[in-house]
Amino acid sequence: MNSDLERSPLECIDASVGDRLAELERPDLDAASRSLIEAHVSACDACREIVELDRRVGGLARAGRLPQPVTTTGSWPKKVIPMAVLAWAASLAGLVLLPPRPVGDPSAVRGEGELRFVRPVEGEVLPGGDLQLRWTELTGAAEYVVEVRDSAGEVAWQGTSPVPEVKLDAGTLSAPSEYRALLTVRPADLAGPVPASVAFRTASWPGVVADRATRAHRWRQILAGIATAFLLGVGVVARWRPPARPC
Amino acid sequence: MSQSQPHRQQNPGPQAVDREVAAYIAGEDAAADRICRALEPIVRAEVRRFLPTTDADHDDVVQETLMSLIRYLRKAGQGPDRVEAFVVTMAGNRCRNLYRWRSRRPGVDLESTGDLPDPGQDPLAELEAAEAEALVRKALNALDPPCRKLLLEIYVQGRPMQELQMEAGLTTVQGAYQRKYACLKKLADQLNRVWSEGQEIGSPLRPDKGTGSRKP
Repeated sequence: MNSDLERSPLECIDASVGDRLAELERPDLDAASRSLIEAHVSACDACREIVELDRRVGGLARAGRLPQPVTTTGSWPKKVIPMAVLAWAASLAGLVLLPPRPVGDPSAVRGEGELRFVRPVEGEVLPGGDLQLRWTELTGAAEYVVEVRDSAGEVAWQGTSPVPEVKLDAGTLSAPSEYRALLTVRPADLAGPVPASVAFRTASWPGVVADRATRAHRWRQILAGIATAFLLGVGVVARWRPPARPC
Repeated sequence: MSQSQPHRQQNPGPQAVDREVAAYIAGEDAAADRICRALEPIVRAEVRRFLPTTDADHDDVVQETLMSLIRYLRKAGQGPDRVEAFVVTMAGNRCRNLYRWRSRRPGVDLESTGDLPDPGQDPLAELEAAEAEALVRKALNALDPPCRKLLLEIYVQGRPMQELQMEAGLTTVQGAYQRKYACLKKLADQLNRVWSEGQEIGSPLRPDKGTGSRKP
């Protein structure tokens, strides 16, 4: 016998009918179609092999000789990845954008009465661009007087504001350096004799991010850690493929 | 259907065969002989590609192929679009099955085997069943993961087709059945590949009654 030819796979004798084998599973298949397909199966060795396989694999399964299908673990992590990325990004944003813990004792806020700086917090590192200083509002205040001094005690900037905030344009302060902002109010008797003050410094963005990461509130650091670990875990699981379990 | 006499009759052509096929389906039994005589040369030519004319099973394969066609016509109630291609493919498949059969049982005379016993009734059949099982397992392992998963879910877990249909986002259950049979087809291909590569000895599926490997 010509072994190459003989080893070639069986061919369907009439593909237009052979392609309809699945219809045999339909209970509502009309009699003529059923007869046609069944006659085809009885004549076509290729299709009979498929039907025989259906029976044989079913028999092996019923005899418990085939393994349970491996549950694909690659699908759910892929669905979770966007959420994990979102949670991670949100935690990082919270870490970087929200104010850090003030340096020193939080209760030791300089400033009398209600007048004190809200931002920056004590010891905060700010980016060198536009700076915004905010403080608590005092009822009856006509204007607030702000003075920013550098580490040598020289006045780097001063001004007044009728509202409890002031914005310093980029380049106003020579970055990076350490500064202290002093705040008084007019009329002066609305606050105590000691001006409210806060120390801060300017730095480039990497420095700001590093400072926020290390000095963020503890719960935000924990959240960011959990989000990062979750993202890494999901990524590892998504890339992992279970080894093919032999039948 | 003389097997030893040279064929003297001219091929009547496809249209004439189609007419005979229609006549046979309509109930004219005598048309069967005319169909066989008309198609015998091309069937014999196809079988010759696989088996020399001196092969003991040559004539049997030819005869069984033609008989199978006749049975098909009655049962199907309609003829194939191209009866010549139909019967030639049928003959080729029977030769391939014969080859598998001989590979599985070298030296066994098919004539002497009579009706083959069912698996479980004799050691050889049991061995054959075990080998077939091993081949099916191997073919399943070689199957692409989605198909293997689908087949195991159907057969092992017994998951309802409706459930698989919804999971796959198919509009009809029939679509799920189509996928099942497409995967079974792939499994059959893998089975043939595994067997052809000689990784296992023997035929994946024993030729059953009605194949060309047995005398009618």
